[in-house]
Amino acid sequence: MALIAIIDDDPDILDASSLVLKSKGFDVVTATNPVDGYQIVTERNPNLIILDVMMDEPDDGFFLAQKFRKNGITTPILMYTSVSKAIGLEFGKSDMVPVDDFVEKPISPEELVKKVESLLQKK
Amino acid sequence: MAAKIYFMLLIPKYVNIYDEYFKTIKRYNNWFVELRYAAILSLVMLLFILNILPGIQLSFFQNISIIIITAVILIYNFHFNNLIKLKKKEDQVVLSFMQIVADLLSLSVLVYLLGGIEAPIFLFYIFHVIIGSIILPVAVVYSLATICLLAFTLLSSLELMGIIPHQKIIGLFNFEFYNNLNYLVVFLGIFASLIFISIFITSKIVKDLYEREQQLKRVLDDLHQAEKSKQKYVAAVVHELKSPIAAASSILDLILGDYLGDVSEIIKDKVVRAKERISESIQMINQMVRFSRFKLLNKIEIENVNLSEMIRKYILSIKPLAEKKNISINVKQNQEDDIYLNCDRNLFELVFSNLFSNAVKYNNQNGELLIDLIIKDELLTIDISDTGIGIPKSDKEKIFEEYYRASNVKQVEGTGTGLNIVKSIIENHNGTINFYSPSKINSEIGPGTTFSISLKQNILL
Repeated sequence: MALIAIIDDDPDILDASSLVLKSKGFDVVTATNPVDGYQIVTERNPNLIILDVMMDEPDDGFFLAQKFRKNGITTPILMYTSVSKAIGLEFGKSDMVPVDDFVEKPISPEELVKKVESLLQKK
Repeated sequence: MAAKIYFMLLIPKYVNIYDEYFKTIKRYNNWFVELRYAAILSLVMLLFILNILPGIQLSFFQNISIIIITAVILIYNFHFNNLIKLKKKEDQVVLSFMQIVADLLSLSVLVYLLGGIEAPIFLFYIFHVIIGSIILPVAVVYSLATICLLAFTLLSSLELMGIIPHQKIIGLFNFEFYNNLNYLVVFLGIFASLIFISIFITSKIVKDLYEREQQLKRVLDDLHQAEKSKQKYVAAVVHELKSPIAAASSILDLILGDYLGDVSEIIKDKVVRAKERISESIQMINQMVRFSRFKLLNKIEIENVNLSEMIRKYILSIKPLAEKKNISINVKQNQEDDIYLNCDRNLFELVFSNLFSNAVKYNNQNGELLIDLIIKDELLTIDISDTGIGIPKSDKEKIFEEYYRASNVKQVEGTGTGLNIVKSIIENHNGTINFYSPSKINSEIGPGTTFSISLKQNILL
């Protein structure tokens, strides 16, 4: 079964996302900061990375995503964001933001599962 | 390399934002060419007037020479007109210098032809040095002016000594003074001071203006910087505000989705209610941030939006609330195809989410909500009518004011910011919004309100 790495500093979001994904049969590893996040991805080589855009610092998630890509990690990235809709930003896939899809918080279980499955299929 | 150094000599020392400076130079170069066409026309007219005025007489040599010099000016003006298109910045600076030199030479010839020191046309030297002082370094203009004055003095002296023939305008003056040494000395002295004072004053004013402009530019840059930090700050605050709410909502989703085991219907009902209240606050945060961004940037991003689709989407989102009050929602439009509007998508979403949720919130049990889209001659009218409590006449003036809430809404929650936001968005799209109460679907259920928005379908801003 596919392994999914979730990197988010909010323990409740980690907990809720893990529960939902595990119930669908996925294996889940988690990290609460960019450093640990990078480590679990390199060590466990997951099939999908879920990444929160803001952790300790705004843009942390973006920088981590860029770091993955720079170091040749091409695993699909699903990014959690809380402000994209609010500030009217339409995120798109680009060099600046090297992620494959976005989910706006609060994340509905159905939407999360749908996006995860479609990203895994694409791969 | 040498060319580069020469070109640097032609740029005033106080210039430090080169791109702006070069743009200005290019604009001036354009303007000089246009002015020169006017000058050519004036020369032709002058020649004509001098020839028809009774008593004034120009010699054949004067006439033919003025025609030739006019033609020369016309030719080099065509040439300059072509050179303006040159892309290199250096070329534009050199071009402005060349234009001034060419004009000073032509003017000197004209001055000689029209009487030398007796020619009123010499006053145009002042105009040229003023133009020079606007764009060239003051040292260059002083040098040019000195060369002109020396040439003029030489010419006048040669005429005085009879070495070159004096070109007199017969009939303009009753006596001659080109051959009067005292006059020559006094005249040239005063003229020289006039020229140098003009350069001094003009270049000082120009330098001050330029520095003021730079100052303003710096302030503007600072403002932009502050604006950026503000945006970042707002994003961070929203994140802080939304994160706990979003996390709570995710936990409730676990309960509702039976991820934590079966839950009784009574508990589920309450959890659903809790989720609804949570999403209200998330929506409110999103709206406030979106609107503050719009107010801050005062900028709208126009795109072609399928309005009919957007309205359908927003109706779907208020449906749960409407069903609770058994409110029927109807959409009418006077054309079969979807209606498109050039507008800012995010801001219009704000408009509809506000007006629709008001129409449901303030509606009565078993009421109606009607959205009527009418297109006529590229003018789009959107009428949003309800059968709610209506708006009292006494509140009519204030209803669009920030934080104002009508006097009859005590029992309904709200902040009083919605309609103010809606109005500014519509006005920023060059549209108008009005309302009337009772609405056009008023019934025994309630008087209701109709909000009527009018917009040009293809807004060009």
